[in-house]
Amino acid sequence: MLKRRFETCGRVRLAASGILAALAGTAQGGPTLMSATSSVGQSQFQREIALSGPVSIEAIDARVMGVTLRLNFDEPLTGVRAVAADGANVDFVDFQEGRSWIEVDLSGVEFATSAVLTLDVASGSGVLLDTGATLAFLPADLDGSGYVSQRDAARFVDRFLSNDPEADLNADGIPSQLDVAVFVDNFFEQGRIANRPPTISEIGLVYAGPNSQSLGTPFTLRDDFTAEDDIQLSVSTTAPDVLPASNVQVLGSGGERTIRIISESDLTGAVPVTLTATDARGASYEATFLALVDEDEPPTALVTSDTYLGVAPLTVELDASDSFDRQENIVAYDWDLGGQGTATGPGAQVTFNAPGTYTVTCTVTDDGGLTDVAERIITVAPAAYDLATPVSEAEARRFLWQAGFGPRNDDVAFVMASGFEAWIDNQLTVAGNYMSQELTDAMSDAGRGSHSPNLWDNIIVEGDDQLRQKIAWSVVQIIAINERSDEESLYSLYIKNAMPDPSLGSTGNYREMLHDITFNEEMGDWLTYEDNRKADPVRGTEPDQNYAREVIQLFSVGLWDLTLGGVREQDAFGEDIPAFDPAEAIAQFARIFTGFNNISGEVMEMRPERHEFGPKQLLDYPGAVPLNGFIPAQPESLANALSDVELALDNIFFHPSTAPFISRQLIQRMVTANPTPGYVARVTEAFEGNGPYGTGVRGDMFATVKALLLDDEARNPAYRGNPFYGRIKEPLLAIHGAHRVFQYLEDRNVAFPFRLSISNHDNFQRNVGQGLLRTPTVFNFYEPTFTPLNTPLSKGGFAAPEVQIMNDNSVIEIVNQLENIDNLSQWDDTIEAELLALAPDADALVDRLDMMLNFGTTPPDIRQIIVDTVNLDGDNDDRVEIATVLMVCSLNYRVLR
Amino acid sequence: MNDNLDQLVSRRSFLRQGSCAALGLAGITNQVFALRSINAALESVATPFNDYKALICIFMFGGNDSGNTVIPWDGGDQNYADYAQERTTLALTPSELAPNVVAPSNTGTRRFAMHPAFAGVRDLFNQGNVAVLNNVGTLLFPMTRDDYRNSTVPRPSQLFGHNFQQEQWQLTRPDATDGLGWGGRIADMVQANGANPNASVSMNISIAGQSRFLAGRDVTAYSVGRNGPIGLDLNTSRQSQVHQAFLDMLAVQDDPTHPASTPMRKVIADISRRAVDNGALIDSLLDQPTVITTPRPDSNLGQQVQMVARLIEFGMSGLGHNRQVFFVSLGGFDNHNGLIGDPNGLTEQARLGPHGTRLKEVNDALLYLHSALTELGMLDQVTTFTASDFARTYRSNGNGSDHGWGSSQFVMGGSQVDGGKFYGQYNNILLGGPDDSSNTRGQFIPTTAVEQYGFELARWMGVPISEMDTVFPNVSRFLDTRDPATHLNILS
Repeated sequence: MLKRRFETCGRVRLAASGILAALAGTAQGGPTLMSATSSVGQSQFQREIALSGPVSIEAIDARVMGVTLRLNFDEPLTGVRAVAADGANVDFVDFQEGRSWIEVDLSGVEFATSAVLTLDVASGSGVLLDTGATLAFLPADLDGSGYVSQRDAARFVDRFLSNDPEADLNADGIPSQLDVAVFVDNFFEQGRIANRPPTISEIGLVYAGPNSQSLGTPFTLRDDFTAEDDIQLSVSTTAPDVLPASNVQVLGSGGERTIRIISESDLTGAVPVTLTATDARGASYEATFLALVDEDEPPTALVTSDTYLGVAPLTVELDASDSFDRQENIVAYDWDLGGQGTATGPGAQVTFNAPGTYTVTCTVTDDGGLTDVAERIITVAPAAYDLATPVSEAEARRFLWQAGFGPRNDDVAFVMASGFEAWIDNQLTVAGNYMSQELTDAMSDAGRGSHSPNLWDNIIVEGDDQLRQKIAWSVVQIIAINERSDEESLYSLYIKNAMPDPSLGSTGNYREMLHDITFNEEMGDWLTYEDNRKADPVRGTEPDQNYAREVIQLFSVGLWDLTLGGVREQDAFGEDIPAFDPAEAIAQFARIFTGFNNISGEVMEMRPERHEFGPKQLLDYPGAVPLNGFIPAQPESLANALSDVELALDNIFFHPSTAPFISRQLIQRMVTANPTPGYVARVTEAFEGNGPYGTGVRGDMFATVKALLLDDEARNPAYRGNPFYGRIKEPLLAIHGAHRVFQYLEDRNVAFPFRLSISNHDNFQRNVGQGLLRTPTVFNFYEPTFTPLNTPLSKGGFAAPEVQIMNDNSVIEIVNQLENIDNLSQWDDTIEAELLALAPDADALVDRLDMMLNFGTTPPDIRQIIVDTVNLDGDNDDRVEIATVLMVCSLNYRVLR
Repeated sequence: MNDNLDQLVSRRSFLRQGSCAALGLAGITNQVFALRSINAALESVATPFNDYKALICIFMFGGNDSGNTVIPWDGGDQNYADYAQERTTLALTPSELAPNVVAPSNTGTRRFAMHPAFAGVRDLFNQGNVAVLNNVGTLLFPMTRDDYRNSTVPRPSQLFGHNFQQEQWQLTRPDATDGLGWGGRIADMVQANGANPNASVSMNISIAGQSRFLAGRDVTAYSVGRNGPIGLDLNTSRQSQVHQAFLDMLAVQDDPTHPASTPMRKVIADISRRAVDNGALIDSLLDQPTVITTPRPDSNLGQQVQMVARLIEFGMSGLGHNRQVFFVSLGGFDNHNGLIGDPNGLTEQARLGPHGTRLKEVNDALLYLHSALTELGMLDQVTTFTASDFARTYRSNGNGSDHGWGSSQFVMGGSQVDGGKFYGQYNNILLGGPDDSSNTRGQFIPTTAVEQYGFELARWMGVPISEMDTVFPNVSRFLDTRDPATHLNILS
């Protein structure tokens, strides 16, 4: 759900020749050079408002082969980006928001060659896009000293061809009148100016139907010295039968032109067309574009919105601007706002005052009249969920799928008696279950092998510490690691830091998690910073960047600046803002993670002689920790090395994107794959220590998850009216949860009985794509943004991460694995007896299983299929088995809503 | 949203829309991407996928000991005596090797021997059906011993580690974030350019379980057991009715107009129904009579390659494939112990030893494929190639060898393979010598990158040259995609 900002932007193109000229004072009181209002192309989100071009350009420092230009504008600027110079290097851009000037340092300008400076600027009120008013700077080394000095008079003229009315402005040794044309010719002859060919802007694809003509595609034509009207244009096409050159028309004059193709036959095809521009000095440029002559094809409509769930009254911003047409000929957007009127244009807003589920549609039409419709389903709840509401069995069971690994009857009873919050709080009093080497040894001694994830299976299926285990399992899918030896001690870090564990001195904080993992030897091995050393200038080595990259981009900050709601922040140009410089920031953090050494044991040691003690620039953000994100150089010592690591972890932990980035993924793992920004923001608030559940401590996992589970969006039954709400149970939740519901226990008479019917996580990973500590990459089994292509999910911008590991095999294998649950003798006796007693009545049996597994949500026709199949068999055991197998294999079971 | 849009606007979805679709790229904001795609589209117009081609990857898991697979014999700077001196206890005897001496047509007077288990490969090599690529391995950049030892050129991460080296062989991209293998990326690219327009089963098929190599963005690998597809196993009473009830439930949940339909349930239902249908389709094809009479080798790998041959037999007619990529594998090459056999052993297995027994399985599989594909008349249209984690240390650890690096691999086919030749550079085998990354172990720095190997196979499959930098982002570090003189030119 992208929130677009309506901002303005402009592109200023400055051409300079010679050593980019010093222009001291040239423009004072002079004309406003660039004040044209220009079209901004076809983008729907740039308003066409004038931004005056630089009202003056000063050279504030001129050097050999370099110059600093100050570009003064007539109003404050809000953004600058994409500064590039063709023919020079841009060394530095000095820009501050709200200031009306920019300074650009340029270097590497060959003497007497030309350079073109292109920059995009944005202001609060104006826009200027690549106007025709190309600025040209005369070569300013007029005294022949070999470089531009302040003594050199400098001047600008408009395009060299007009007179130079102020040529005497800085007449320090300069003729007061200058014949510009002669001057330029002289410089060409002296070879001090290289003639460059004209340029033609990107044309892209031009479409026309058979026997019709295209809409007209604008492009710009430029040359340094030849007026655009004097540039010669010619056209050739590669398929004259489909499109002869004479049917490619260039319309207009000056620098802003339009190209149109005309089809006069039934032939269709994609024809590369070459447009050649030749300037007065003979230099030419070829631009090739594709002319597509084809039957019109319909556009593809796409609609997103800033939210799709909320309490009445709910205002929704809708956006269809990502709709596209292969032939680029969309002409209209028509909205039906779910009974709340209509609207046109790529964006719309609607407010729903009454509760209900609404379908908003947008019909996108192209110039051939073809259309496509996209819809957005919005669900409005009558009121926020009241946590004092008595909890039904169904709601209790649903909650326990979110907060744990499926409902066990005693937990269901607890939640019904005391409420959701009481159950969550009670989890603080439940001792954590840990995998341990002792347990693995005991299992091994009992002849059950030494596959330690089996310990986890038992903890998940029979343990009381469900919330702790759920958090740990969620976090290990964020801080993802593949480790098949010493799994016990490694995974204990996740369990320990998931919630407070006083016995281990844990406060259950994400910051402690980051610390423990960073120093863990398995992680050091996995992400290759064990034995990482400071740069060695003699050998030319640099520190390993692997951990530096992942700890920032996956374990904390993420890639982008985020709002509190987890939505990507955008700059003044409407583009996502990277949270860090992928080269420089990573290199700086790589220097932090030097000196780690595994001598023995689970915790890596720090060897100061291998650690980098030079100054380090970490991420800087408002309120950055440490101050300005900077660590000064320090003397070599163990304490300083360790302090470096902690400061760097603080730096990313306190970054404003970390709380929403982590919070959103926790929601995805527990409640819904597509939380609204409002939901994410409320959980983020708790992560930051604030709000109704915040404890004042940033990173408090228990508080974060409590806010997550008690949120209106998690609890309010109204949102289940929206088909996009919810999440797919990942394979291990589906499998382990079924075993927990029935309290499955393999043969009680064997030593160290297992709680799972099938129990090898290597096989799980191979067959269903998931196993404990068996992620194939640090990017987890699935990525948080994954969406299956060409589905309503992808079209609406909705994620369904778990689909990433579904394929022809895994969808069959998981059914085959779930089927193993049906051995009644291995169920809890009470549950077995209860269901056998119901078995003669297929309806009652299926309804009870529906409640136990699906909290009563199975649709009637699915339910009927199961009932009918049960009734084919007269044996009670068989009836219970059939009903159970079909219930766990129904897709209702697989999607948690 | 933009990521999502990029996916939605993937070429495949465009390219499937109509005849001129290959050129429909408007709406993509990434101009570089768009331009590249236009180039690809223009090239593909000239090379439509109207023929059939397939790749078969035989992956030798564990790290095949190349040192005992292709051995210098005579006529070169280093010969059998040097081999025997460097490999000590691991050296095969001259009498074992003598029958398998080969004279590549492009190594002058220099001759080599193949492992005794490779008698069939020897024959295929001599008749021009097999080519050998030497000292190929994972690299980030071309690298010399000095580069390696001074760390002036980045090394592949986790050298000498199974998992990572297997992964890098299959992905070729050390910085890959998407886990896509190059077999998958080749498939994405040929499919985006028009291959397999009507197939329901994926063109990438693994007979060896989940395969990183085959994972593409658009093309998800289909996995089939060596005896057939994985079937539903609803082991209850009234099994067939329960099975039918399961399918009925899927049908209900696949119906988007159903009041309880949700997009997530529908996605699972779609994939599940497709899986059931594809399994049934392949089962039905496997029930049809085959023209292949070549007996299948009695081994796991033999079963795998037989399944491949059957799926090639029905690839075009039954599956609608004109491009296929297969993955088969064999484990057990991690021969830290017992690398060599006992030349005086009573059984063939004892004489070959653990390593030789594995190689024999590969040898027999290649012979089978050669014969079966000849029967099918498709020898020229199928290229089989080997891969492995790494070679092993040249130095003996007593009974076996440890993890090495650059290795010898084999390419088999018909007229498309310029066989009977050696490609790449056969490395200097001196321990601590100019090609050894170590002082004593014989972990030879590859002189050919996996990218070059992959490029060669991708080019033959019809991936447009303009797309090669997308399929193999680092390939231009090793060759000029547009200059055939810099290619391996094993295939034509």
